[in-house]
Amino acid sequence: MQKLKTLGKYAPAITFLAFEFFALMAFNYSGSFVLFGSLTLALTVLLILFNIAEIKTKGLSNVALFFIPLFLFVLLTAFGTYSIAHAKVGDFSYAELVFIPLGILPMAFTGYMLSVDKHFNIKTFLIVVFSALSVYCLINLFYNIINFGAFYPVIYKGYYLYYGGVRSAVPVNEFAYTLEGFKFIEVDMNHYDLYPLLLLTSSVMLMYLSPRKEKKMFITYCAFTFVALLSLVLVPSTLALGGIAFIAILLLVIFFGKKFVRARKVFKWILVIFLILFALGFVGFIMVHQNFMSGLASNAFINRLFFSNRFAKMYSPLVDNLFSGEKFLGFAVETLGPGLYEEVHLSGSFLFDSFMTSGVLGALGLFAFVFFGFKAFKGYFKSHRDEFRLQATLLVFLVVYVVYISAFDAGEYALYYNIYKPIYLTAPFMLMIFIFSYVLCKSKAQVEEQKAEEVEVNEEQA
Amino acid sequence: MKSKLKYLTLLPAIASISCGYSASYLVPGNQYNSPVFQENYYNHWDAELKNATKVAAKDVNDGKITKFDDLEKIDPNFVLPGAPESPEEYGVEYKMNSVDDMFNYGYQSKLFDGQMVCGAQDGHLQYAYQLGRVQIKDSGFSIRFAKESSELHYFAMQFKSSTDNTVDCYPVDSDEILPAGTNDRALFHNSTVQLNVTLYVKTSNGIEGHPYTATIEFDNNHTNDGHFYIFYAFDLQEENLSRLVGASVTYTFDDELVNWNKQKGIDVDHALFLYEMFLPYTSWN
Repeated sequence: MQKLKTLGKYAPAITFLAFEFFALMAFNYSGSFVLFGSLTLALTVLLILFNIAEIKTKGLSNVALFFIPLFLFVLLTAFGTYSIAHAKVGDFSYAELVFIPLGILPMAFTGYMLSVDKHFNIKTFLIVVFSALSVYCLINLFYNIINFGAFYPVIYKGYYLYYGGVRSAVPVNEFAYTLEGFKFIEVDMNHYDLYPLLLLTSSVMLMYLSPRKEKKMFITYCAFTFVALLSLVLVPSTLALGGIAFIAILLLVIFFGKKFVRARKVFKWILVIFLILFALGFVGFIMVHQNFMSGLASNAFINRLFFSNRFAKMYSPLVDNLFSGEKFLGFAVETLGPGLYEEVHLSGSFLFDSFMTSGVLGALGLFAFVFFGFKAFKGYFKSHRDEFRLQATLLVFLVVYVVYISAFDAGEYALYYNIYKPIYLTAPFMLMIFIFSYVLCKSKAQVEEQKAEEVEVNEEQA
Repeated sequence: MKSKLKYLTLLPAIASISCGYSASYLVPGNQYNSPVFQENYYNHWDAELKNATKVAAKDVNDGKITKFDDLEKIDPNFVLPGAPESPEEYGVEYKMNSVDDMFNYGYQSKLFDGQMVCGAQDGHLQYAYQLGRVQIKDSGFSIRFAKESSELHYFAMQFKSSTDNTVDCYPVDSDEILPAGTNDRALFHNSTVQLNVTLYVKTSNGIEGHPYTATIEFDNNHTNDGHFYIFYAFDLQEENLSRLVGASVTYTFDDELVNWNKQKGIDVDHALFLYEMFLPYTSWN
C-alpha cells in the first residue's frame, strides 16, 4: 500500500495523459469505440493506481448510488436483444458490445477520479476538448468545401451522388463528409452539424472573458467560435441555423438570467410549462399507442397528430406495445437492410431510439442518469470550485448535446459503407458521461463538505 | 503575429475557390431516369478527348472481335476451371470498380459496377431500369479516367440496341399503328449498328485517340444470336496500348423499325443501352 502511495508523485503525468485522451476523443480519433473503451479502461486503472491516496471511501458509496441507473443502461444496452441481433449480422462487433460496460462505466469513474484530482482542472479540459473539436470540424469543413464547394447544400439541392453505380439514397443537401478513422464517409447532415454545434458552445466563455486582461484566452475562444460558425454557415442546413439560434437564446438566458432574477424566474416557469407539456404529450402518446384511448383517434386533430402524419410514422413503432413481450428488454429491428426481425426504422431521435436499443429499463436508466446529472449542476454552481463561466460552458455543452441527440440525431450512418453506430458508440456520448459524472461528483463533494462543516460548527457550539 | 493572423483569415477564401471537383459528379434527382425516352440520353463529352488527335480507325471485324462464348481465344484464364460461365458471372468477377476505386465515382460508375442486366439498385425505386444502364444516342459520350492504365489486353462491353417504344408507331411490315408501350418490335427487329469505340492514350504529344470499329447485326428474334444482351470483346494484345486516360463510344445505325416509321412520317428514336465496360488485367496509377 505504501508503495502504491509513493506512486502518487507521478499523478500529474497521468492527468496529462487524461488530457491527451480527451483530445483524442473529441477529435473522434479512429472513430473506434473499442479504442475509446479500452483507453478509458486503461486510464481508469492508471488513475486508481497513481491516485489511490486521494480516493475517499466515505464519499464513494454516495457517488456510486448515482451510477446505478447508468449501470442499468450499459448492461441492458450491451446485452439486450437489439445489440445481440445486430452483432449477429455484423453491424456491431462483439468487442464493441463488451466495451459498452467496460468503457462507459470506467468513463463515469474517471469523472469521479478527476474530480478529486488536484492536477486536473476543467479550464484546461475545455480548451483541450474545444481545440480537438475545432481541428475535427475544420478538416470536415475543408473536405466538404473542396469536394462540393461552399454552400453546396443550397446550390446542389436535389442533386444526387453516384458511387459504385448506385445513386445515393438521399440528395447531396442531406449529407456531408466527416472523418471516420482514416477515411471520409458520407453521413447524415444532422450528424455532421452535431460537432460544430458542440464547438459553438465555447461562445459562452466569450461573454465572460475580458479581451484586454485575458487576451490569449479571448483570441483562442474567438477562434473556436469562428470555426464553429464557419462550419455551420458554409455547409448550411435548417438545423444548423436553428442550432445557432438555440445557442444564442441560451447565451442570452445565462447572461441576463444572472443579472435579472425576474428573468430567471420567467425562464424557470417557461421551463416548467415545457416540461409539463412534454410529459403530458409523452404519456398521452404512449397511452394512445397502447390503445387505452383509442377513442381519441376519432378526433380529427389528434388523429392527424398521432396517426396520419410523419411524427407518428417515425415514433409509433418505437413506443407501440413497449411494455409487453420482448420489447421490454430492447428489440431487434430492420435498420440497414432486410434479414432482421421487424420493420422498424430508427426515428432519428435517440430519446425514442433508446427504447429499442436498451429496452424500457435501460432507457429509463439513461434518462435518470441525465436527469440527476442536470440536477447536480445546482450543487455544482453553489460549490464555486470551478469558475462560473466554466460551469456555464459545461452546462450549455450538455444541454445542446442532450437536446440535439434527443431530437435530431440517431447516430452515425454511412451512405455507402457498412457503418452504423448508435449514439452510445460515439465519442461525444463518452464525453457527456464524463462531464455528468464529474459534475455529480463535484456537487456531491460539496454536499459532503457542507455536512462536515455543519458537524464541526455544531461540535464547536457544543 | 498580426500578419500571420491575416493570412489565416484567407484560408476559408482559398477553400471556397478551390471547390468543385466532386461537384461534377452530381446529378439532379430525376436526370437519366425519366419516362420520356429522349430525356435519358447520356451525352457527356470531355473537351480534351473530343479535341484529341486520332489515328486511323481499325476494323475489328476481321477476327479481332469475340463473343462471350469464344472468350478463351483472347483470355487465357478462360480455359482454367472456375472461369465465369455466363456474362453475369463475368461481370461480378471482372468488374472494374474492384480494380480501382476511381471507377466508383460519378454517373458513369454504372458501367463499372459489374451489373450486366436491367434492374438497378436504388433506395427509393425498386424497378428503375434506367438506373441500371447508360442510354446513349449515335453522337455518343466519353469517359475520362482520373488515372492512367498499364498495358491493355482487351476491351469488353455489354450492351443492347433499342428504339423508343414510348411513342405510337408502326410495327415493321404493318400499316396498323400501335399505341405506345405495346410495340415489342422496339427491341426485336432487324438492325445493324456500326460501333466506334475510341481509346485515348497519353503520349509525349498529348492525348491520342485510337478508334476501333465493329459492325454488329441484330436479328428479329432476339437482339443478337439468341442473346438478349450483347457481349463483345476487342482483342488489343497486338496494339501495345498503355497509359489509357479515356474512352468514347459513338455509333451509326441502319434500323428496320426506324426506317419503316420514317416512311410513314413518324420519327422513332434509337439508342444503345450500355451496361458494362471492362478493361481486364489492367492496373491504374
